Amino acid sequence: MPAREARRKTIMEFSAEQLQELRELCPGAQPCGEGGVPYIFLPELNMPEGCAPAQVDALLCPTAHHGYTSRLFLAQRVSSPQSRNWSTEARILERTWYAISWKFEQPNLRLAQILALQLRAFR
Amino acid sequence: MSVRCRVPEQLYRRVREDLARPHEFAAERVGFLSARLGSRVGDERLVLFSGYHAVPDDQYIDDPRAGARINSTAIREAMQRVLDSGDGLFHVHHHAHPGRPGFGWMDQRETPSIVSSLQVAGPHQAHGMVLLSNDFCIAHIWLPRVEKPVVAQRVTVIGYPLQFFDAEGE
Amino acid sequence: MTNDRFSRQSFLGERAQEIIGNSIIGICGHGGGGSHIVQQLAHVGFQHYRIYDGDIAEDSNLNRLIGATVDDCQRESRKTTIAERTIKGLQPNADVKVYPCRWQNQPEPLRACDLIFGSVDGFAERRELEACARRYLLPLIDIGMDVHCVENEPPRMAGQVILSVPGGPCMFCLGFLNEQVLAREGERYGDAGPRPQVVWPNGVLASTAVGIAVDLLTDWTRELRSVVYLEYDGNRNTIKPHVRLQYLPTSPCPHYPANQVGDPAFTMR
Repeated sequence: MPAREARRKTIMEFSAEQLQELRELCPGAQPCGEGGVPYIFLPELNMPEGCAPAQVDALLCPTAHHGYTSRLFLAQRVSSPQSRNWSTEARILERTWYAISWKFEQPNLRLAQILALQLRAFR
Repeated sequence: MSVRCRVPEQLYRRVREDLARPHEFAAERVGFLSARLGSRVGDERLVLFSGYHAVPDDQYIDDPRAGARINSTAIREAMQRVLDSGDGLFHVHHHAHPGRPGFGWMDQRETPSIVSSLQVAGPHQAHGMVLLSNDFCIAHIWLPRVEKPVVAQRVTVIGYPLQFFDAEGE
Repeated sequence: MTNDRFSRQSFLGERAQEIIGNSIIGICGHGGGGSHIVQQLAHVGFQHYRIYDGDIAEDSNLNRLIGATVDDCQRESRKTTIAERTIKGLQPNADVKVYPCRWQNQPEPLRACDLIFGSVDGFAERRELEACARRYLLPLIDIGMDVHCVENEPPRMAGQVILSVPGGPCMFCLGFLNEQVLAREGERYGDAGPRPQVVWPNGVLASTAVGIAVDLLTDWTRELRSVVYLEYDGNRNTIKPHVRLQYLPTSPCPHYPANQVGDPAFTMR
């Protein structure tokens, strides 16, 4: 784990174990935060089969975000087998991100599980 | 290329308070300000100060020729901080007089070599020197991969009120 | 421009006009609030402007958009064009850069400002602007108003002026922004419809904001302030410190820590 990890402070501290699980899905995953909201930057996240582009930078917010229990923001709108409602364009951490309207219950889910459920929308 | 620096008022005050503390033998105190770059806007860069690290009392060298000299441990720790954090570091000290301060001959001889060491540790950030007087502030900045320093066009203390310290001729 | 031009505001201090003339001001939103701000800044003598607004003037703006004319609506003039015209009419040599888009589409010039005014729509927009201001250590003065219509009761007109200074309490600390209001706004997406807006409360709020800016820059009142959060009651015609100021935590803002400044590290490739 890079030494620079230490300088990023988020209100929610993720366990090393959960981050490691996430890094098995996205090796470059880095915790970050803004405005008291924790995010995890997922560079070149592999999207489910049938999506274009197949890889895209993403930002996972694993906590409540503007009415959603979690949110997956993508650096660009992605086409997927089922068309989705791209309801949100947001500027976070000095980049523009896009998100679909996709809600689910997530009691006590691990980070990797949250990401998996978010990606399910793009199958 | 022009550079503007910004420092939050709480941090600025903390630096001043620390530098005002007496030392057993050094006439002046030294610290390091953490800094990060803001992306380029035309020909202008921003340097944003984010933290302060006092040099511990036992890391000074008793040298009567200098207001303050810090030892190799202080420099090594500064380099390690750059490596660990990815931030830039600015050597900061205070000259006890009013008005625009100026780097003395010792500052101009010694501090750039400290900055060189910091550049080795963190070539992608800005490093440099900040000098305070009783009521003014100047900064010299070494931008990434640039050999010669730039004098800050403006140093702004972000508080209420805002305080602006402009380079001579501005 | 003669020396008499600003003689009536010499009380602001010996160096005030120099400071005002050298300051770069960002204005996000040239609508009902922003247009008042721009006009007043020009009168006061500000010379450097960075103005963002992606809209054109429409008939429904004419009840409050300062400087807009019937002709502007017929010609579909950009709001930024109107802003520039207002400024140049008072300060012909002003350095005015306009961006007919949302600030998020071209954020770099905003970062170079000394102070920014936010007159944007909605809580999410305010969150984004404050996040940028905090990251680049920019003082932000936010204004906004709303009219709430409740069945069988007179409408309630309210507004706010918030000064967000990096290091001090943010809009989350002040309770103005929170997950609940952001969530409610998100749920109303697409159903928002036109919001009630009129000229006079915008004038009150904008004038107050400009006054805060001039004091922040010139320190003419020599009255140090820790936090500015003013609430406007348009029904009673009052503007006063918000009651929430009594309950502010004394600890530093936890939402924007001091070390989260500058370009985010992960964007550096």
